[in-house]
Amino acid sequence: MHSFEERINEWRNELMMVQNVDEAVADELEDHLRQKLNELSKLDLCDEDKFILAKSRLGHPEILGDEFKKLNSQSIRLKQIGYMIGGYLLIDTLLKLVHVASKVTSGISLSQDNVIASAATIYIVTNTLLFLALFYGLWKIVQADSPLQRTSLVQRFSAIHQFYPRYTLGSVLLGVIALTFINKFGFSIVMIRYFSVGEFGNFMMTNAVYDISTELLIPFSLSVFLLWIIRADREWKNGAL
Amino acid sequence: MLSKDLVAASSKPLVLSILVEGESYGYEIIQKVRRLSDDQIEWSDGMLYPVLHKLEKEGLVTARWHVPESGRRRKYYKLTTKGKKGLEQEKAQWEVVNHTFSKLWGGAYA
Repeated sequence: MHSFEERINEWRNELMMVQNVDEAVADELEDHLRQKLNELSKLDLCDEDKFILAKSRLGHPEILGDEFKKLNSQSIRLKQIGYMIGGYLLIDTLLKLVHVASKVTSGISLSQDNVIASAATIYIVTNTLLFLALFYGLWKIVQADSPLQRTSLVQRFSAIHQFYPRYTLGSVLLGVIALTFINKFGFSIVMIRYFSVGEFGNFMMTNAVYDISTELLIPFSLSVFLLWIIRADREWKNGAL
Repeated sequence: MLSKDLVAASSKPLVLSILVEGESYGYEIIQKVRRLSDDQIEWSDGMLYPVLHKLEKEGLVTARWHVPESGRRRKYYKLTTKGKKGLEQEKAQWEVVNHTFSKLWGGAYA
């Protein structure tokens, strides 16, 4: 025969095993359980029945954990965005290292063709990975529990325009990102051409300004765009959208 | 007994409406809802807490831990200014629903 205290401890331990339930949540729910037991103490039931009844009123720990998980989904999404930006910066850094390496190695008279070949290949591969990672991330975000769920992407953005004209800035930035991506992709294609006629070095020099501007533009507009998505998501959750 | 969907939809305005009367905690909120609805609105008690935490996260309520004389700490929730505005919005929306049904069921279109 277990005492109430033992049962409560067992129940609490089971609750703490569930993801998304921390010490504070367990304290709060335990307080509730104790009050329920206190209320039931007036009834003509055996201790075991009282405990089972009180426990069942609170619901199954796994289901409760799921509810708290939903609650934390916003921060999980922020984490996803963090990974995206982190991934972008990582790939971008690799890209720049390849640029530098190609210049250094060409200085120590390696066969220039080989250097260009490897640089161009890595550039194209990393750029493709970059596009895929970013589009996948963006797709995940708009697919998530965000403004005007269950409508198409276009409807969603146009509805945001309609109710929140100031978010138009977000769409302009989205356009900037899209154009920059297209430009970058075009740049990779052009590189293949130049690589095939062996004028890679000249090409790199004349495009340095363009290269720097796009390198700065993408992370900047991407960050603003993501902030816009988060903001829209919050407005929606607060019922303003 | 109210359907699950309706219980979920009304939980936010119910909690806000109870807290507008003053600070309270989970168990007390549930008791009030049960009493006011003549036992027609029955929450699974545990489900109230994610709702309260969500409202806290949205800044509609603030929470503080208080240790009563009985010894165990208890979490109390209080409406914020933003929460009062949120309640006004909720009220306006529910009144639209209520108004529409009154017209429909009041015989005007029957």
